Formats: sequence, C-alpha cells, structure tokens
Amino acid sequence: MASEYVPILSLLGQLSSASPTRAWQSAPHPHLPIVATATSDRTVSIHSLRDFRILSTISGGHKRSIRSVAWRDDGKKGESVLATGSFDSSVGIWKREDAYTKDEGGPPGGMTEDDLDLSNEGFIGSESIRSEDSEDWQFAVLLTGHDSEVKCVAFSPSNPSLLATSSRDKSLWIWEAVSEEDDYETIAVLTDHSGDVKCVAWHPEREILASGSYDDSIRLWRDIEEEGDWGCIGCIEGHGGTVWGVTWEPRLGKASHEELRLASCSDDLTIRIWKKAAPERREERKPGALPSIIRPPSSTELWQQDSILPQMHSRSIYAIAWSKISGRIVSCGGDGNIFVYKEVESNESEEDDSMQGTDSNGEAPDRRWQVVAQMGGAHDDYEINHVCWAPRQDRGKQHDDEEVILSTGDDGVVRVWTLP
Amino acid sequence: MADPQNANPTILNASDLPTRRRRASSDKTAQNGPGIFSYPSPAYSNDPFSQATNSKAESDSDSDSIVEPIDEQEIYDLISTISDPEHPLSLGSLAVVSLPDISIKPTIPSRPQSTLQTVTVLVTPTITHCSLATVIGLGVRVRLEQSLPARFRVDVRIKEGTHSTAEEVNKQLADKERVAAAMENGTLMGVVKKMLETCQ
Repeated sequence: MASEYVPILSLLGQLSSASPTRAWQSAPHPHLPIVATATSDRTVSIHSLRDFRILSTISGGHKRSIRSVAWRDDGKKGESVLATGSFDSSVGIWKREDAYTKDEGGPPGGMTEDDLDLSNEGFIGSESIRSEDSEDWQFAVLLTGHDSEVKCVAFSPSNPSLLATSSRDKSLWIWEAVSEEDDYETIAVLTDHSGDVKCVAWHPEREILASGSYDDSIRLWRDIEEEGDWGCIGCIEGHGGTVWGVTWEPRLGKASHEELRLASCSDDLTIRIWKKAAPERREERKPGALPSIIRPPSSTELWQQDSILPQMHSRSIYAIAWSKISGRIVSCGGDGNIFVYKEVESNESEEDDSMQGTDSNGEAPDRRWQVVAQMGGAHDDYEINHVCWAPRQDRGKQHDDEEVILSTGDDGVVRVWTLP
Repeated sequence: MADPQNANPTILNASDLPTRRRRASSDKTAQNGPGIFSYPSPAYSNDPFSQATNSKAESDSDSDSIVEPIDEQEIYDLISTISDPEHPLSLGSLAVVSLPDISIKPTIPSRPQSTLQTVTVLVTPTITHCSLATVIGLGVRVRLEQSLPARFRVDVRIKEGTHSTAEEVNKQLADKERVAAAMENGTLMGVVKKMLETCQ
C-alpha cells in the first residue's frame, strides 16, 4: 500500500431515526435542504440538511423494505414528488406541497400573496422548518408491474416526466407521467439483461439510460427513432461481477460536444470509467478471422474502458457518485470504507504508482485517478450501502460550492462528511 | 415434497463431531444427572471418563464467562446443529458443514487497525445436484448473521467440485440484496426457521 498519508473525512453530523433498521439509500432533494432515506422498515425518513433533524417519516405505502428513493426535479414548482421502489415489487409516487421559503423568492405553485395564510406553520420566512408530520406527504399512485423486488428508481433530469424502474425480474421499465393526472403509463419494458437489474442512471442531458446488472454487464438504452421504440443501444462487458452502481460524468468543464463518460462499480472490487468509442474506429480483425456478416445496427454504440480507478476496497463496492460541483468520485462498500478520487493530469501525479489507476492498455495515460480522501470504518463495523454528494447546507457552510458526502449504512444511520 | 433426492446419506455419530460446547454440557449431565448416586454427587464427578476431561471442562466453563475471541470452533458450534431441510439430521452429522471447511481471516489485511473478520464456510451438499443447496447455504448465512457481532463478514460457498451449479449458488449466497429480500419471503423464511429450530 502507499506510504504517503491520505487525509480522512470529517464527520459533520448524523441523520438517524428513533428505531434504526438497515438503511439502503439516500437522495438529496434537487433544491431544498432535505434528504430522503430508504429503509428496510418499510418507511422513508426525511431529514433536514441544515440541522440534521428528522422532519418526517413516510409510511404505509409498502409491504416490504424500501430499497430506493428518487426525487423528481421539476425546477422550483412548489411541489415535491418522490418515487419509492420496494422489495414488494411496486413503486410508490408521493407528493407534498413545499413550504414558502425566502430562498425561493416567491409563493410557490402560482399562489398570490393573498393566498398565503400568514398564520400557517408553513410560512416561516427564512427557513423551511417542517414538523415531523407524515400527513404532509400524500400517496399519489402505486405503480405495479414488476414481478419481483424493485431495486432502483430514477427520474430523468432532462425530462422529469420519465421514470425508470429496475427489478430482480431482469427488466427495466420506463414510465411516463400522464399530464394533469397523478398517474404514469408504461412506455417500455426492456428485458435484455439476463440477471437482476441492480441500478439505473439517466444521462444528465439526454434521454439515455444506463443500467447495471447481476449479469455483470452494463447496458445503455434510448428511444430509437428508426425503430419507433425504446431499445438497448449498447452493452458494456468487462466487470467480473455484479454491477452495483452506475453514474454519469457531470458536464462541468467539458466542451458541449464532448461525450460524457460513465462510471460503474462492482463485486469484482473495481470502479471503471467507460467512454463511447469514436464512430470511425473499427475493431481490428485478426488475420484469418471470418468477416462479420451481421453489421451492428446504426443505433448501436460501442463503448470501451477509459480507466480503472485505484483499487482500494476489500469487499463489494455498492455505490459510487460523481460530483457535479468538483468532478470527484466517491465510493463505498461492504468493507465499511469510503474513498474519494480525483482525476489529475499525469504531470501532477504522485510518485507512488500503487494509488493510481490505469487505462485499458495498461499504460500510463495522460490523465489518471488518485485517491484524495478516505474514511475507514465510516459506520463502525457496518457495511455502507450507498454514498452520494450533496451541497452543504448547514450553518457551518462558508461558500456556495461546498459539498458534503452522505453515507448510508446497515446501522440505519446516514452520516454527513466534509472533505479535508 | 417428492422422494428426498438423497435417501441414504452418510451419517456421522454426533459424539464424533468436534465441539467444545457439547463436552461442557455432557460434563454437566455427568455431574447433575439422575441415577446411580442416591445423594447429591460431589462437585467432581466419579465418572472416570469425565474426570479426565473435568479440568478442561472447568477451564472451558470458567472461560465462558470471559469473552473469548470467536474462532472456527465457535462458528462450527453455531451451524453444526442446523437441521437439514430434507432429513431429520443436523448439517454436522451429515458432514454438510465441517470444522476444516471453516476459516476466519481479517477482512482488510492492509488495515491492521480494522476489527473486521471474514468467516468463510464451505458447504458440502449431500449429493452433487441437490437443489436444496441454496436453502442450506441461506440457512447457514442467516444463522451466522443473527449470531455474530457486526464486525464479522460472512461468506458461505458451496465447496468446489461438490455441486454442479456451485458458481450460480455461490453468486446468490454472496448477494446481500438477494439474501435480504429472501429473508422477507415468508415461505422461504419458514423453511429456514424450521432448520434453525434445532440450534441452541
């Protein structure tokens, strides 16, 4: 292992509930300072990222553990929509009116000043402080169709009326919100994977979906206009085990024509970055090999490995997240450790090669990934199921670009970390 | 269920199986058992066999009150009494689990300050295509997860060369999400509960 010191994360706070049971995943709200956490006691807890208090508990909609939660990002429309994916094979859609906050500038939902009842507990003025009140949340609709446990749910950031859900039944469903109604219709059922579909991630800018599976592969999907329907446009094979998480690169400083890369984490203890192959490049054919009779359809994309991150985890890597603010990647796993990585130019890199990744040729690339922070035993002896970035919102925040790491563990707790 | 796939398994005598727990309890029965002596037996037993092992048993029961580091023998004691779903016999007596097939290693060798330990249990199903291999593996995993402190990571695998679909079974048993969902399946948990009924 590397001899130089890697700085550790600082624990800022902890989000916990009265009787903690295994927590699977957390999702920070797109613009409000709150976090939703999916737990195995069939509830979702909502905590504040300002003071880490519990704000409410959503319960009653599901008969088994809630595995995944996702917020719809409609811009600031005054209403929050949350999707919950459960082991009971269904997906719940929940809604809540957002309280008026000074940060948002004006009354939500097209209301006028007269409409606001100033004695309403919702109108506080400076902060959105809500009491622990599950009546705030309304159960809008239950989406059924999957044959077995739902593993992941996600709304498309570029088209929030699209919802993707994935399941142990090997399928991925795409749902579209029916306008004016609290309902969704199924627009695609995609069954190309040969094992549980563990995770899905929407491209930040386009209606393209990536999925990771128990069958060790990653697939890409979109609405193929030439074929008139959603289909699989690419299959990435390379991992040696179940792919637990996929996440897209944020645009950040990249030029608008550049393709965003995809990162994935797996049971094989690696985190890999994939990039779309340039269209001109053809696979070299070995001499004597038969030519391929079947040309891939024009909609198929070829993806190849861009790099492997330094291998730090000792047990399955359950989740990764790619920061929209800093471009850093954070990972967590069954070994209870959290690692943070940054991509650097090779002339900036350290002498020690063991902390650095390699590209698909095994050679030193002009960019490489380095570990920049770590936290061993971040949830004591417990496994960490999920990790993600969130903007820092508590009183200690000093500038707008500060971010925190949220880690969700088997101890039923979400921990909030700052970087060194 | 249809005819058991393995109607004639090899059964080991329970007294031949390695266990620290059983020795201690058999000593207690020797000391407190009914029968030959009409008045309360002395603290040490007159049974010549238990005399030989008496001091060891005492030191065992003394050390029971002190927290012992969990070792392979403890793991074996936890799982050997699990009942086979097909036969009214324990996994230990069927040699489905055995002491040499249990190992405990540090989970993160590169981090000496980490207290995490990985317990690996290799399971030998009674016949090579036993479809209950997954259920047996699940039973072992559930038993260990329920009994061991959080710092233990449990890996249950079918022993290489003993089952036709070992890799598939192993992948399922290693998948935390699948195991968690299985533990919420009433029917499956009913079977596992029955298997664990015979555990102390």
